[in-house]
Amino acid sequence: MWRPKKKEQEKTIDRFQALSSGQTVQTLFDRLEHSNDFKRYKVGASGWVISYVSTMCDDKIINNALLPVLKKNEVQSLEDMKEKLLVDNIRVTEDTKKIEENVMAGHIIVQEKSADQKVLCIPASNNEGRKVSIPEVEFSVVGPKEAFVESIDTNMSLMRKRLPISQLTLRELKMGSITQTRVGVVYIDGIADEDNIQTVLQRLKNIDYDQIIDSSFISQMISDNSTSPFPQLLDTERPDRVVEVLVEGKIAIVVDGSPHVLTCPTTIVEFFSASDDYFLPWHLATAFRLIRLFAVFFSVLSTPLYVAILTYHHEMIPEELMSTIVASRADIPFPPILEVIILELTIELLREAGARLPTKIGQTIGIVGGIVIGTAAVDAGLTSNVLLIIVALAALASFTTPVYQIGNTIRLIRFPFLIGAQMWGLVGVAMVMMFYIGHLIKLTSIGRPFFAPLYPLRFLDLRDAFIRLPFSKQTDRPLQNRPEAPRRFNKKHVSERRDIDE
Amino acid sequence: MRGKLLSVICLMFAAGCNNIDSVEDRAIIQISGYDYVDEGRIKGTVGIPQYGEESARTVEELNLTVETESLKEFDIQIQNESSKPLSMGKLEVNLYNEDLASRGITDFMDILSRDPRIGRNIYLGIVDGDTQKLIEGDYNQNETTAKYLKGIIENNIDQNLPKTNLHYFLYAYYADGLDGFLPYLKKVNSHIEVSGISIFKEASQVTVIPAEDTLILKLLKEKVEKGSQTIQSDEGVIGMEITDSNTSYQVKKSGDSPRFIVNMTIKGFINEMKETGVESQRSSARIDHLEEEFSAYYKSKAEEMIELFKENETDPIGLGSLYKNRMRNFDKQAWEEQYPEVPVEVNVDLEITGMGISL
Repeated sequence: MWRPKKKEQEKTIDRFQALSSGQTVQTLFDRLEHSNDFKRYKVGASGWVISYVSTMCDDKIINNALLPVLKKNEVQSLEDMKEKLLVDNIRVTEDTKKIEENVMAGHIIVQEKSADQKVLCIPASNNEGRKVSIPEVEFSVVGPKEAFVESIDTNMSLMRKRLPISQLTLRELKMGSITQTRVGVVYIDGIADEDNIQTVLQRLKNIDYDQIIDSSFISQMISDNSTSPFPQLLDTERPDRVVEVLVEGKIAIVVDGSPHVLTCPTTIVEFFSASDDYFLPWHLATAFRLIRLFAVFFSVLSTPLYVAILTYHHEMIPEELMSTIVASRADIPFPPILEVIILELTIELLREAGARLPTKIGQTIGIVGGIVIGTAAVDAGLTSNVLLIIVALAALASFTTPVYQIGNTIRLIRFPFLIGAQMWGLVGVAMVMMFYIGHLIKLTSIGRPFFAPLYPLRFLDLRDAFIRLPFSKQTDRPLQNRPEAPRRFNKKHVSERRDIDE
Repeated sequence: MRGKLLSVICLMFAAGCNNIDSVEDRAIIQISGYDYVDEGRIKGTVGIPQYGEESARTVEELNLTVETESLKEFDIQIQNESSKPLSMGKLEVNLYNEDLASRGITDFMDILSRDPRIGRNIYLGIVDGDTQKLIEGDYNQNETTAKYLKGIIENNIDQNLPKTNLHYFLYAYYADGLDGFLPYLKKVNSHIEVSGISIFKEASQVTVIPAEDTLILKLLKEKVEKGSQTIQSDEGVIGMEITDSNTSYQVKKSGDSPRFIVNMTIKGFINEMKETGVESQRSSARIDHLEEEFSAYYKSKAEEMIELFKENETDPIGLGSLYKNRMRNFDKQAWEEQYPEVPVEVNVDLEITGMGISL
């Protein structure tokens, strides 16, 4: 097969790159004039040239601040104008690269003569975006009702509002060779581990890709093992949740244009804890967490166990259930595995359709449709009643996960279990389970173990893992994050008796 | 990596060679029974539930019977009669005809103890009469014979029958100085009853304890929390309900011959008193009298039973195993010679806790 030689490949610079290299202000504006929303004209008697992208600029600044000054001929030079204009953050520059960046971000460029390299950049971008609304993916009944939006600035302000301390640090990077997306690394200086911060920054700097549309791009690109079905960075749309983990010493990654913020390092148990857990009394929260954990196991293992037991281990079926199972299976022309795959795929189909339908009503219709299809399938003798109940319950159980990303994982990891169950029965289920546990033990998140409070066993971190102990017992920040300030509060204050006040 | 992948794929295809039948495609044997025909021939019967339509909820039982020379042949021949592969995994009850039991059921025990698919909690039973007729009998519309029989045995274990299942029997069968026993079942018209306990020596039945004495064996073997006995006293027939009991054994050794002391404590109340002219007033003197009388009854019954075991050279209570546990240098041969003559002393401490609420 013919392959281009490597040397030749390196030499070729595509037209895209050629356009942006070695240009002057004149060539930049000449190219921009191909777009119809680019405006460039002379103003006033002294012939100032202003240039801007009209779709990115705020009319108010042009009309109220800039044009009066120019038209009245009050200024002589760009420096003079910089002093007189009542706009913040004006800059005089000759750097073409910077000028390009600014004009594309909605700045107004003012020149003395149209051929001048020296320009004045007046920020005038119209920051239009969605208003902060209630969280839709991670809904909670109690607690804050704010969710992140697409603008990185709004998202930062949502976090800063909750963390009014100078230690909250934002390190911004530009990523994506074409999209030039603003990506921010947020952490609390003095709590977050320096190694973790460096790892994140280094990984982000190493990304070389043309577009960063959403934070999930970053999540996939910087994860330790990109072939793993388990997400290694937790994404959330709740500012309160991000603040919670920042205080614990984690690092957040904010991406402009994405209403989801990534947090790391994370562990598998964090995916099963909801923000509701902290708004409820600790014993109730613990019970709900355990129910959620049970739901996950049920969702993954119920159908594989059905297949394994019906095909290989019918000794395990209790006598009382035997007649129900055998009677409902009697007319089914398929072996249990095919029956299960048909029904699981139907459910997956419904879910996928539900996700693509425009509104929440669409989802409801999907579920109702599922029940109708299910009963019809049973009536037609394609699946058994018992299995329909199991599959429906398993689907329901998989919805209990508070983080959407892990829900997708749970949807998929049951299929290897099904194959194992069909081939070797319970032994097969055990083999697949061992494979997954081995994988989880090996997995890391930003270099920190992903299976953490369990392996390596961090006994103190277990107080906010499967169970949640009361706040008075949460004296230390999780060891997993290697916080530089490990203490949350002084334990003595909690145990002091304040009966003298009563 | 490629090698690993290849081996996984090979395993997948190898697993595909396995012949799999899911649960509804198998004939699940729930009950099996064997009859003695003549020297070297046995007749085996199995009961397979036939689950009907879901709406009907009735269960019919299919019975297959074959006569063969050996057990191995039985397996082959019974498959010939069945439309689905037979599966022993859910066996619940296994029965033997009395003739067969008195000739020894060693072969059957071997099979039952070897097959890992058969649970240890299945019930064994000895049938007075023809096993085939008992299995084929029609008892209850909604139940299979297996379930019905299992229910009878389980219910009786809660009452007067000592604990029994395959595990207990095999334990006794393999232990030194301990012999097994099994419920003795009988078909009476359209129902089955536990009509006693059949006592084994090794794998052969030697004697049968009648139904009214099963509680005595239970008292000797284990803690009784619920048992009832009617006692013929000089005041008439009195029903006593045992609520608590405890039996402890002591071994005393003088010289070469051991001596056993059995201490039985029984608590219970009177729940039935057939008047025979005697006034039924409550008084402590009267309770004392009854306690004495009942103590004597249990003592004599227990002694009688131990005597019966000694005569038959069988040891279901496990005196030998107790002796082996307590004494160094247990000599099985010597013990077996000693056993028929060994003195056993039974002490009963009985307390009547109540006589009912009426006068």
